[in-house]
Amino acid sequence: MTVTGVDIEQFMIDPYATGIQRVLQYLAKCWPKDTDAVFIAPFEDGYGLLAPDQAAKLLSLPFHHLEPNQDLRDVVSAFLAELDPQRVDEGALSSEVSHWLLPEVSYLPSVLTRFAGMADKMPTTMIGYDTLPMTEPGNYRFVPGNAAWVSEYFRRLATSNNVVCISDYAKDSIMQRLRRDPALPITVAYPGGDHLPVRTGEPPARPRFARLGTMEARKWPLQIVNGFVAALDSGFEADLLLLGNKSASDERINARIHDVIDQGYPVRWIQGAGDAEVHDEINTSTYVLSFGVEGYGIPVLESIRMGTPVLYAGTQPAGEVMEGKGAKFVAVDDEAQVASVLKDAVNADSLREIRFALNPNEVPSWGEFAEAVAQAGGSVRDAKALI
Amino acid sequence: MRVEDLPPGLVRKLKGVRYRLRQFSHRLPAPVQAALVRRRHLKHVTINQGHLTDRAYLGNAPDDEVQWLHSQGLPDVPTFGLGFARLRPDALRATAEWIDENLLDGDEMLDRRLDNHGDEFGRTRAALRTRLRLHSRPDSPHWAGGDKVLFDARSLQSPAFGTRGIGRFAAAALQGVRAAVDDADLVLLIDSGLEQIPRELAGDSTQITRVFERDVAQYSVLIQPSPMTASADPLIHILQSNAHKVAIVFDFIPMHYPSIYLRYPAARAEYAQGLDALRLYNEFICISDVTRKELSTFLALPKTHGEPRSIVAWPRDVLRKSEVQRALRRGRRVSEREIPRIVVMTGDEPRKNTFGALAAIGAATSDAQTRDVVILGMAGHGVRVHHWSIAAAMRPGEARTAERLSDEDMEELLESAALVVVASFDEGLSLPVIEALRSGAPVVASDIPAHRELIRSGSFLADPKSPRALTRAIRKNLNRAATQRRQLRQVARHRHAPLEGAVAKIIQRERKSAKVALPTSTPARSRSRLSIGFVTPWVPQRTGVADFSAAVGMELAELADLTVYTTSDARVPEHIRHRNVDEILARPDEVAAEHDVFITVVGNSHFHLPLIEIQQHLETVAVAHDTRMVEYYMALRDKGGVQQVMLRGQRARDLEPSLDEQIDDMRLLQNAGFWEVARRASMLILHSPTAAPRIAVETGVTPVVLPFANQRIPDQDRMTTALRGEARERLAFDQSLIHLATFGFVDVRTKMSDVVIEAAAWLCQWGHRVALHMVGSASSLQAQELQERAIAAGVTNFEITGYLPEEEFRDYLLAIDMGVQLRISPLLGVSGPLSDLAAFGTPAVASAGLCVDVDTPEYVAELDESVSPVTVAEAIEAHLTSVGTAEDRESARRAYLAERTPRIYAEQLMKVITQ
Repeated sequence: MTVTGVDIEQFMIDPYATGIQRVLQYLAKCWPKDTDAVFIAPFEDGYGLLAPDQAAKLLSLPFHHLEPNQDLRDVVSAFLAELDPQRVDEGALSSEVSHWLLPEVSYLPSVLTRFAGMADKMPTTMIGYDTLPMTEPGNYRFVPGNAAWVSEYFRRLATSNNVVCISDYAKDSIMQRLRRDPALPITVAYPGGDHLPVRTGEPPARPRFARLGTMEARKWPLQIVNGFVAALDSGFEADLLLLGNKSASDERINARIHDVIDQGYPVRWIQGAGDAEVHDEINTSTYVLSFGVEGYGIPVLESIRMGTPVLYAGTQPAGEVMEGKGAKFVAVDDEAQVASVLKDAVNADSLREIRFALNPNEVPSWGEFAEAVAQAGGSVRDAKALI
Repeated sequence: MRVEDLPPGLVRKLKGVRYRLRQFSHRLPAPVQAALVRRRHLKHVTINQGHLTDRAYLGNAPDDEVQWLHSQGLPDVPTFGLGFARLRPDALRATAEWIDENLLDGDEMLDRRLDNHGDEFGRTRAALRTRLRLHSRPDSPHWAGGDKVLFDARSLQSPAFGTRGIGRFAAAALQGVRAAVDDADLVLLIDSGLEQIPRELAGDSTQITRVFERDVAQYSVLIQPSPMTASADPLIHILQSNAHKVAIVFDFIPMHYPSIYLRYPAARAEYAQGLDALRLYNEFICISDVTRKELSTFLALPKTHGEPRSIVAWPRDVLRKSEVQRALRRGRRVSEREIPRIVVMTGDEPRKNTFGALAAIGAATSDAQTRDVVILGMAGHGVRVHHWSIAAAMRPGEARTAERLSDEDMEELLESAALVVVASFDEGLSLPVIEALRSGAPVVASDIPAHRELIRSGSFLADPKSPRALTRAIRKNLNRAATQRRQLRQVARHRHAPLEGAVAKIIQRERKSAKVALPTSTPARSRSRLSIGFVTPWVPQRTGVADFSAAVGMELAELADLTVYTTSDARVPEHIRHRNVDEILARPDEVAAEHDVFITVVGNSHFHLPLIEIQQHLETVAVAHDTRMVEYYMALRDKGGVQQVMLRGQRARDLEPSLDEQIDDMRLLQNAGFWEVARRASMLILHSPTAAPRIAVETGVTPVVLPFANQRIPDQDRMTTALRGEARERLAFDQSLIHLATFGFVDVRTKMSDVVIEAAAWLCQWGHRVALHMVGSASSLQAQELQERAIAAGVTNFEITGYLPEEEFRDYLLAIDMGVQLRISPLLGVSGPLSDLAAFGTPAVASAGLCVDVDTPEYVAELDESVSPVTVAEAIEAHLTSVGTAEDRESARRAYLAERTPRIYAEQLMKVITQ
């Protein structure tokens, strides 16, 4: 019987809600009952072992309301202690599990060193999100001295016994750019969108485009903002809502957005919004724009669950999964094309067509995702000879 | 007998008695209870004052001993040159010998002298030199009968620009000068490396950085508004002239507390040279009677000299009569605030006794439910004040620190105060007392001469060493209108002249009328060839700059009369005239006269320490190899020092993100720290077209960009496969491996050495057989870490060579298959090794900014500025297969070299400096 050890130290250090935290949360929530797994976190000079249902509670904490003076890391640590997990020593850890899963992107030396140690003793699986820090480094500013561990993570991704990718794009980039051995197993399982209840979209009378995510260059914030400005300058009437934190790597992007707002364009920028607020804003928008390069793009699925269609451009695996079911690919190579797309999209026929096709029940399910990851343990048993 | 020695039974009984007494005290009348609490409070804070205050301020100064801050490698302290009185001939001789015997400019010592304290050895030596110069007066004073007035404006070159402290007095003095002379006859002495003086202060007056002997004649009056805060060096010739010299004197506080202010040789020598200079003034304007009375004592003038000519004067706006009348008429409104506000007027200096004030306020209000205490003058030090207030037994939050306030906000705050406490241990003139009274608040102040001069003695003056005395004074005068009225009347009676008027009168009285025609500032060249003083590192000093200067210097020597000025470990060939740079520091005027132009080679390392210093003595053309100076100033002056340089001339007053973050990640660097180098140079020459625009914006100086020259020309005319093979054999390279190398000092922070290793690791993982050579030295810690990482990452053929002899370095350039030169930011300087790789025709991949700066040929592939190990590995792999034929490379190499020889560089440099 395979027992999968799921390493969640990275979550304990950095539990702040992102798409990856959602993946972890539902991995634990939907872990198949017929497959054994323990979620493993550093605890009291050793490790705490959590059953999937315990882990699900822990991994859900980032999505709960926090008081302003609460530090999420403290909350998470305290909750782990409250769960009173089974404690094992470093030496005994490998005897508790027979398959090691690294479910998160982690550059922590402790996580990667542990992974290397486990790889010597048992099959290993990683969830492959994307390779962007290695293939498009301009969007990432790693502090000097960290390159080795960042690189090490991706080298592990290229060599671990099994990889479950969240998209075909992630799989392709791991195979092509990181040159993973084609003989090693690698599969694709789509993260779900069914964590949100289905709502009916309530678009406003005056068109409003919403864009989700941080303002990093790879997500094309400037192309969207400049295209929107170009559309308005040509007489188009609409609002633009930016939901997401400022760019950490390029201050010019933030400055340009502030500049546009200061000039009086109908652009609203909300930073630090909670889930409920984000979902309400999506629900009451005409479209969500998902442009640029994404490893997957859970917000695309969330938008469709909220009843709001998505226009996507660039590399958008989740958009491709939902093409024709509420998501529509648009070709935009420059700001003029963005302006044109925005104007065309609010045309009554276009709107009616995409809304008609919108099917929130078609988003991938978390159950299927967790099942696929859990099965990786079984499949790598067969690949043990590769170790 | 100690408690522990008593029988246990007795101890128990005594504890019982104490407990019952405490219980009983709760039944005492409230005033008695309050007094008991206050007594306990005072006992507590008085102990803490002993811990938190320098013992010299508490009347228990240690012996007056002068020691180096860090003595490692330094000679004995030259005590004979550190006396405050005029130096006697034997002391002068001994000081001169000490200076001559202790050059300490070997490479190791230069590194040692970057000590975070501005090079305490160098500062000491410089100040002692100035003392010697001040003592070696000409037989008769230089004639100075011109109609110009010289004003030392250096004290105005601070971010406060004449609105606070000394600058306020300097600004008033300047107003006085302007009342007497037009700008055409006013000359301002400035330091170009400090803040620019704003136009409204500078007007149209001429600005100079030094008074040369030949210029002295045009002046007849010197006004020095701050004689003790900047070196007298630029003024020596006029100080030794018969010009009328006027100094504004603030105080002699360092002499009162030498163990605090003058404990280290540099500070003491600098102060002593200030006193030496002060003795050469004819007239003094003192800011208080206290200071005026101390003049004779501390100047130690000979008895024959008589009393120095002096007056007391204040800027007009310090206390206008109309303001006093208005304040008296308005009277003191008794504060009706439920919790009386007490303002402490202090400063960021232990002398201000902030803790003493807090301790006394805490005790004086120990019976209050809560307190409202505001600390004024310690903006940015809230955490320190918080800790002091806790040590003063206040509750958290009861004492808060006011951030920087406008004049209006400060007045409003003072008006709201029930009492202002000024507990300073020493002052020349206490402006806070005047400001507080003007705003209508009564003052409790330390019982020191400066305060007695202003407000006379009374219950409001108390010994600053005694929290008990200050407590009593605070309790007695809190919210007391009568105290404020009495104090204000006393201040109004103070006898002083308006500073502006006093300065104007002196100038009208002393200024001569001769129009003196001076020779042009640049001596006419009588020589047929340009005479250049080339101040630079030189081989074999372990810096690429030395290699470059040697290559270029050889060519310059062909084109001009070249004298190379170096530090001790340089070895200049005998056929080139060379001297030690210390000769310039010793006799700047004389050496300056020997050359038509000086070129100083500036860089971000210890090799440049004395070279950069000469910028303060001579007008020089600065050739900067590096495109940032932050690490240099960080090592020389510590964090505060480098922050000052980075913020100078900028609108921003703070660094964001923090300095540490910026140093750790140079992509965040807010400012290159070039202000002093650029502003003090007559011309700034850079080799980096990438960095030049940024430095121009940050300094206001537009650099001249000269193309970088190849400093390491191959010995052979053609780079052949056979030559490369021979080099591989000499280095015992395994022929079956791909040999990659990165050249220069190994540094993860700026040169991404870890990324290079990881790129090699990816290549190994992809099946290539790779050897990686880091050709250069590394710190032992970094070398160990990188070795471990390389092995962990699977790069088993890895070496860090350490510093190599020239021949071996050249072998590496020839033998490798590909060079990898990375920089974390395009603004981090020109890469000499990349230029070497180009010169040797060796393929390479390099960050785009480096390629632009060196203008590399096509066999060097440009990488994006943002790289990852994977993108670097991909680029190496791609470039290995597409680099072209050896013949093509050789012809590209020859074309490249032909345009970038040291000779061409030298010719371009000559052209630029002679234009």
